[in-house]
Order: sequence, then C-alpha cells, then structure tokens
Amino acid sequence: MWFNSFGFWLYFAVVALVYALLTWKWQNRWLLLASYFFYGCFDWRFLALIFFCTALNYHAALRIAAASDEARRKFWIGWSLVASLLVLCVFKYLGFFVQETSRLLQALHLTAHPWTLEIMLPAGISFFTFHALSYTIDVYRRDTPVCRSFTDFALFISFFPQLVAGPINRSTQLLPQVAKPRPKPDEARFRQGLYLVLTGLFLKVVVADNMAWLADHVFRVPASSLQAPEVLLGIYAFAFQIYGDFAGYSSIACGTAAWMGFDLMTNFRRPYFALDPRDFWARWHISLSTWLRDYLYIPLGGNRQGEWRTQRNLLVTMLLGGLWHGASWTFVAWGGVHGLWLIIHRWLAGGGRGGFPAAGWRKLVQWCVTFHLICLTWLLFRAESFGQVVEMLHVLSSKWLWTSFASTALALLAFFVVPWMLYETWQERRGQDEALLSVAWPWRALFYAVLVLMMLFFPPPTVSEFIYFRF
Amino acid sequence: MKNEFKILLCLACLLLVLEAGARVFETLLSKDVQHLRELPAQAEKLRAASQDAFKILVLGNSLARCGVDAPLLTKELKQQLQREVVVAVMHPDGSRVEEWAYGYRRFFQQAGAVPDVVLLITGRVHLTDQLKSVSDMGAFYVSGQDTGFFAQSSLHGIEDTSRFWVARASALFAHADRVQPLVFYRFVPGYDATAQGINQSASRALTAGSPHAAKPLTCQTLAFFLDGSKPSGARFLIASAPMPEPYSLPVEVLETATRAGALVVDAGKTLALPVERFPDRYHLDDPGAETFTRFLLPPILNLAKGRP
Repeated sequence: MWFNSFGFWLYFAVVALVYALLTWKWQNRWLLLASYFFYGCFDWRFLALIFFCTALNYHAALRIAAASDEARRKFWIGWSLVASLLVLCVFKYLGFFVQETSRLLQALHLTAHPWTLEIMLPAGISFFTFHALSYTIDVYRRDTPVCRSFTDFALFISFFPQLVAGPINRSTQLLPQVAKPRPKPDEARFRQGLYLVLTGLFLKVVVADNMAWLADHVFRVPASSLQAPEVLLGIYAFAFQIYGDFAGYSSIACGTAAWMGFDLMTNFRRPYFALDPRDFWARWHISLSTWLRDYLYIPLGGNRQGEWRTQRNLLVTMLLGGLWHGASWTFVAWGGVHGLWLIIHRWLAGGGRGGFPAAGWRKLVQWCVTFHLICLTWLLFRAESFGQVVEMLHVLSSKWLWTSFASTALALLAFFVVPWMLYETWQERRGQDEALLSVAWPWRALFYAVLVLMMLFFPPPTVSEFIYFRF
Repeated sequence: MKNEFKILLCLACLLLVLEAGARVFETLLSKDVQHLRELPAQAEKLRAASQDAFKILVLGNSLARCGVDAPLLTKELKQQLQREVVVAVMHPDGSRVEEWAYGYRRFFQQAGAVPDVVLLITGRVHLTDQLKSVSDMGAFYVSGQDTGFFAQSSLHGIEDTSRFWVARASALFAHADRVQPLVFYRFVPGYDATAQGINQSASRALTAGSPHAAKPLTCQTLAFFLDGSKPSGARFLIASAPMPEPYSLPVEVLETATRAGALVVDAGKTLALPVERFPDRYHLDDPGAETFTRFLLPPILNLAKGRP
C-alpha cells in the first residue's frame, strides 16, 4: 500500500475517522491494529517477524530496567543488540554473504558450483530494527523510562506512517507521544499536515517518478551506447529521483502523523543546498545520520580520542551506514566514499574547528562542487555494479556529443526540478522549513493549486515504487 | 472561515471549473477523443441504414485507420453487391481487444446498431489479454450494463477499482493523461524520439528479466467479444495488418477465433508489401491502404453473400 495510491488514502480516511472518535487508550489500540493491517498488506507472513522484534525488545528493556547490577544490564542490552541485528542480518545480508563467500571459494578453486540463497526481504526491516534498538539502548543509558504497556511499545515500533521507510524516530521523541493523549486536532496541525502531504505527494509523483523515467533508462542501457551528456543528465535525474522519492515519503509520513496529533522527526532539510559533506549529512536522511552519530559514532569514541581515531570512527560509521542501505558492495563503497570525503573535508577545514569562508562567489563555487560530488556518489549508489560505474566514468571522460535524449532530459529537468529548487531557494533564504505556512493564504492556495495541477496533468509515464521500501 | 478551509474551497472550485472545461472542450484535447465522441453518430449511421443495405463496421486502432481505405471499400462493395453499403468505423489510437470488445458492445451492439460484418484489423499483439488502462475503460468503453462483468473479470484490487470509478465520474481525471503528451510532444525538443527509445529499452528489459514475459498468452477477452456478439448475427472477419516484416497471429488467437466461427485473414503473413509503403515503419501509406483494402474485398464479399 503505497502513499501515492488510492488504496492508501481510502485506508487513511477510515483510520483517521475512527481514530478521531476514540479515546486515547482505544486510539492506541486502533492505531496498532491499523498499523499491523498496513504492514500485512505488503506481506502478511512478516507480521510474525515484526511482532517477534517488538516482543524481544520489549522484554529486554523490562529486564534492563529491572536488573540490579551492571552485568545483568549489559547482558540484556547485548541480547537485544545481538538478536535484533541477527534477524536483520539473516533477512537482509545472509544471501549476499553466502554469494560472496561462494565467489571467494570459487576463486580459490575450493568449490565448483556457486551457492545461492534467496531470502525475501521484509519491507522496512532496517527501519523497524533501528527503531527498536534505539529504544533498548536509550533504556540502557537511562535516557528514556522503560515502557510497561506492550500496546504502546508495539505502536511505537509499528506506527504506520513511519513503519516501512522512516523517518527513524527516537524513543525519547515518539514514545512519550504514544504514552499520553495527543493534542486535539486544530487548524495549525491541519495546515501543517496539508502542506507536508501535498508537497510530499508532489515530490514523489511529479519530481521523483518523472526523473525515474529518465534515470532508469540511462542505468538500463549499456553505458557504451551513451554519450557523456546523457550519463551526466541521467545522474542528475537520479539525484532528484532519490531526493523526491525519499523526502516525499518522509513528508507524507510526517503530514499524516501530524493530522493524528503526532510530531515525527524532520528527515530532509534542502540537502542539495549543502556547502560541504558535513552540511549535506545534516540535511539528508537526518533521522539516520543522527541515529548513526548517537548510537555508533559517539560510542566508538566520536572525536574525543584524537584525530586518527576520529577519522577511523567516521569511516566505520559511514561504511556501516552504506551497508545499512542494502547488501551490495556498491552501497558499502558509497558509504566509504562519503566517509573519506568527510575525513578530507575535516582535514581541510582544520580538524573540524572552522569552516571554509563562505561568502559571495566562493559560496556558489563551494555549493557547485559539493552538489557535483554528491551526484558522483549517487552514481555508485545507483549503479548495478562497479563495472557499470567504471564504464560510465569512462563515457563521462570521453564521449561529449549532444544528443536528442540529452535535449529532452535537460528540458524535463528544467520543467520538473527547477521550479521546486527555486521554491527551496526561497525557503533557504527565509531559513524556515515550513516558511510557506506563514505567508498569506492566497499565496498558499496558489502554490497548492500548482502542485495539484502538476500531479494531475504531469504524472510519470510509468509509476515507480518507493526506493527506500527496499531498505 | 479558517484559512486552510478557504484554500481547500479554492482548490475544489478550481477542480470543478477544470472538470467543466474538460467536459466542454474535451474534443480539442485530441483527435482520439473527438473520434470516441463520434462513435454514437457512427452507430446511428448503421441503425438508420435501410433493411436491405450491407452494413460493415471497420474496427481496430491506427492500423485500421491507416490501413483501410473506407471510400474505396464502400465504392467496391457497392459495385459488387449492387446494393446500398454503409461503412462505420471505430479505430481509437492505441486501442486493443479490451477497448474493441467493450466499445463495440457499448456503442453498437447494445445501441441496436449491429453491422452485418465486423472487419477487425489487428497487429500481432492486440488480440491477446493485456488490459492497458482501467481509467480509459471506465471513462469511454464499458457500458453500465457491462460494468458488473468487467469489474469481476478485470478489476483487481482497490487501485484498479478506484481508477475505474473515478475516471467514470470525472472527465478531468479521464483526460488528465492526455495533457502531458500534448505539451511535451509540442514543446520539449526530441521528446518523441526519446520517449520511443525509453519505451523500447524498458520493454526489452521487461521481456528479458521478468517472469511475466514467459506467461502463456490468453484470449479470454477475444472469446468474450466473439461469443457475446453471436446472438446479434454479426459475422466477424479478423484480418492482421501487413507490417514491414511478415508475422503470424499467435496460435491462441487463431484457435479462439476459429472456435467462435470468425473468419481469419492472416494478411500480416501472406500480404508482403515493400518497405516504402510504411513511411513510419508501422502504418501503411495511401497506396498501401488501397492494396490492403483490395486484398480484403474477396473475403468480405463472401461473408456478404453468406458464403462460408
């Protein structure tokens, strides 16, 4: 049940209507039931898996809270981490590691036949595992009180707007909202929800899916048949596809949650306006980057143990962040390249103590370089193999011939992406995420009318599924 | 009134105005819509014809529009049969068996405008089951009488059902897909060639990688179409249109047509025309259409004279 489907909005209308009629305790039970139904629509067999993860972490947290000594607390947090990550590894990475081991053994002539293990990937497994882990770690650190209501905890894990593609909400932020009555719906919440839902749908239906049409073609055909402008525009198209897709999903999640009285974490803050890699990660998939910072980078030592250790911690965090996206070496390499870039940037910026001077044309150059380096890393992220990356880089460095496809792609990028980027420029200048909510209503009406008409008249030639569902 | 409700009201008004506009000016959107809206007039031509007249309906898509020379067909049939001949046409672009079956039933059979012969012009892939757009079916082709059956047999899940009913209720939604091509084909440089290239690469990838590519061909809609038309007395002549490369209709199509008593002319295989007759490598030009129409005359005359 995708957010851009009729089915979802029919489902949401029923859920929201019944929700509005219930008292708080029953609201939680209703939302839990609705969330399990939502998840079951992807594949009902994995309902048992999400229930298992929920029960496992609920029980572990109770044990941590009840433990009288540090050793027991450590045992139960270790149990929660190992068991949760084991489940994630089995479903997400086991097939990959079996295949890679088989390749290695074949290369060493230790086995003649390749081994394959195909395990179905449950939707959103990386997201709900990280939700659950954030809770048990927070309980262990005594950052959050233990949740004694199984219904509340199960709802925190499975709350449908954020269940399959985030944002990854912290127990410290979402659990307290589950555990007490939400504010009554008012105009401010309705206004915020409407803005988030409409902009999210626009980003998905108009920007992401139309860009997917171009990007998929460039990454589908043999690179040798392409010219450099086609590859370059294909990479730009993918950059806006993944942004529109994921930021769109997060925005709709936040909007629907706002209509039900919940505040979810902002996940994107105009990432392509970043001026350096650190700035980019402060704007892109914020819920994941802060999760990795708080639960991996800082526990590894963060930047407290000297420059060398800091660099190591950065690289390890980004490599694992890459692997989180999927079982493929290209994702690991993508994380690694971002890690190296962060290290180089840190080194150039003087150990993170200062930044580059950012004024006038320098700022423009800095933005342009950062944007293109981000796009270059997207090539690694999107490519099917390293071979494809090398071939595309080769084309980029040699075959500069303007083609009919390039003209079309450029025109479509200008038509679908430039207006949105102009809007984001305005937001950036105002320094507000939801600046539109503070302007006079006729302007907002005009803006929404454009979004609705674009969605109605310029849908993509083919509909693409949300990319992050695969993660 | 609160501001957000004013905004929603404005949006609703805008959509209502556009809905009215879509209903009033829909025929300006494309020649195809114009043709679809003229179908009742085509049916009227058949209904108004005298008892003694020979009535033929040319059914198909752009292959029929470009491949059959209707004036020549009328003239030749009139000359050979020595009686009044009425030719009606239904050939929406990009249509296939689903649109033909339900469109024929809605505009002709259920409207009491049954031809003596239905000349069905098809390509290799148009008669096997593959529903393309439930929105178009809801907006243009499926009659109220057929809705129940169509819903049961072809609408799978909430998404299909919603699209079908929204398109049925709203001309704006039904025509929304026509705006993008109208704008892009006109204003985006190279869009035509790019769209063709992308669609080809996508379809190659689908055939190469998808398990559905190996799915056996079925002809349930064709069977429904032919069997459902039997009681009306119309006889069917199914003719494959010539292409630059000769081809045969799928065995499943031939079997279904034969079982239902339709006559099949495999012109795609037997009528070889030079490649110059296909200016866009797909549709026939005027001389090509004349040749193909003359090729179809003998079997049509046989049907008109009641010969098997």
